[in-house]
Amino acid sequence: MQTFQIKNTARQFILTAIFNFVIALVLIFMVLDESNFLEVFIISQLTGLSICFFVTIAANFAQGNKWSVTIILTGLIAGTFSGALLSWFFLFFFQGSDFGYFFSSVFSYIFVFGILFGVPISYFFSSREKIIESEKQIQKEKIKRLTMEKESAMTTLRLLQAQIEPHFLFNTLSNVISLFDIDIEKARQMLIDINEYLRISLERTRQEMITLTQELDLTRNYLKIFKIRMGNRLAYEINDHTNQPELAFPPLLIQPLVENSIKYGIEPTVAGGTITIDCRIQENILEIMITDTGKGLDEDINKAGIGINNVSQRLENIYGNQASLVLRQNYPTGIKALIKVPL
Amino acid sequence: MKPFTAIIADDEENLRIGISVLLERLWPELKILGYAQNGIEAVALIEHEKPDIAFLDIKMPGMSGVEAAKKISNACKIVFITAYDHFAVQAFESETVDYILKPVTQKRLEKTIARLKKQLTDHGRPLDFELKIQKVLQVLENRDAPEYLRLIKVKTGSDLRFVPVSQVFYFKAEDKYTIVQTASNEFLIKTPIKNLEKGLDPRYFWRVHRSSIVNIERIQAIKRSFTNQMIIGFDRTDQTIAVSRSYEHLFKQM
Repeated sequence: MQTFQIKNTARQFILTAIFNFVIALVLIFMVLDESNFLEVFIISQLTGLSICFFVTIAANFAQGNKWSVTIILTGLIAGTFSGALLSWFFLFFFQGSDFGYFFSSVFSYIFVFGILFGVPISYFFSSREKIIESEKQIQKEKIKRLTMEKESAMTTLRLLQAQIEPHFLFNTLSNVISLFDIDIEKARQMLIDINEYLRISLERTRQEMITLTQELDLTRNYLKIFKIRMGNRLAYEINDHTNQPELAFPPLLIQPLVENSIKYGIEPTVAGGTITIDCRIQENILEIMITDTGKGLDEDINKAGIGINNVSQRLENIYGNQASLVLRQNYPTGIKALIKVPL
Repeated sequence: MKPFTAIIADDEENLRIGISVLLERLWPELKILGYAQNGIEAVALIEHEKPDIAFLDIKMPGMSGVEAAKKISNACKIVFITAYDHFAVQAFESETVDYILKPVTQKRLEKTIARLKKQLTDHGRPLDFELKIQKVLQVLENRDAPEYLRLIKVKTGSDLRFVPVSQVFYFKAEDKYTIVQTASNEFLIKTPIKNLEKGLDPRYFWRVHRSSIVNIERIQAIKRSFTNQMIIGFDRTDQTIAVSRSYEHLFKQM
């Protein structure tokens, strides 16, 4: 950014010097035909470059300020006066002109032509700056959007991977194999549950939206599998009070939180616990509360955090700031996760 | 000769029964003395029954299988059982500790049984078993200890909340407290910003001032104030954070 700016400013000063030369030519041929060209040329350069200097500084301050026009105009006037002052020094030292002569014959020209040419040139430069600035802005927006798209895809992928996590899969299949020796009917039921769970999981990977009922069905399947595995240590309850079976809802939001509750809340406790899912509609907002009576997040606060961060990111990718995920301590033990999404 | 004895510890009942059924089939002389549902029960059972072999599941509530093994040290031979666990398997392999993978297959169990029989009749016991377990434990403990904070614990009244760090816009020191700013809330936590900084992922959380750390993913714009100070604006809040001169270089290449 720094080198870019220096290069830009240098180019601006060179352009200004060329402008000044042209202005001097115009003045000598059209207005001041009996004057000394060198004198007019030097005064033009002194004035023009001084204006350019002050306007550049002013433009720097004006960036993003609502008084930008006033600030640049102030810079222009300051530049003009400073140019006039420099011109007088020049005339005084090299030609011995006194201030009276300067003020009566040169100053008014400097002032009038300085402002006359200064306004359009300042405008030209500041709008050029603006174009460069807005191009940079567009570039930035583009990068930001692409990063966000990538981020969103990564979040989804992570959530999908978590859904058919190897540890879960092997442990579950291990149960089925054992059940063949213990209770064939149970083994059959568990295979059906796994089959159903995998089918729904894989089917919906490409879907942006499913229905709330589908997401609850998948979660129920997941809990059913864990129920066979954990026996009395796990109890669960799913209450859907929305009375809208076709309610559109994005996948991968409820199941990951339930997984968190089992993995970090209930499985690590000797006594086990209960998971409750309550869905209801409150003033056009769908509220889903996932409560567990597990051991809470104190020790595993950060291990559990991956899933929670993923869900929160996903909610934001889909709903922007319209949705929220709040995690609270449940009393006496466990975690309460509340998802709110607009209808 | 007195038959060999064993105990089985797994938190899932089906798996306890499953492995005992398999053992019955492949090693009928082995006497199963009891079952444990968690690490604590396993230790008590081993101390009480003094078996020759303990089959210990790794992931158990209360106390893990590896922790239980460390506790009973050399009381008996130990075979760990684990479902897909890359880290554990690697640790066992490198320390040559006996383990079997779930789902337990007949073939693998036969191999383990052969090795156990040999070890038990040799009366040779690896002397450095404790050291091996210590090393395995270290690997497992480091396994999913995350490098950086993922959730921030905040207390509002009697309410305890957990805020994902990805939702945090910035942290700002305020007296003895630290402000945690999210899109819709401002929380106060007691952790000083200095301690907090150590736990935050430096790829996303940058210190921009003596008293503030920002989440760069949440930055919407960086502007200059009238006095030419860098000011950071965020997505969904009017709050801004000033960048001190000494940290301005962080944003220069942007």
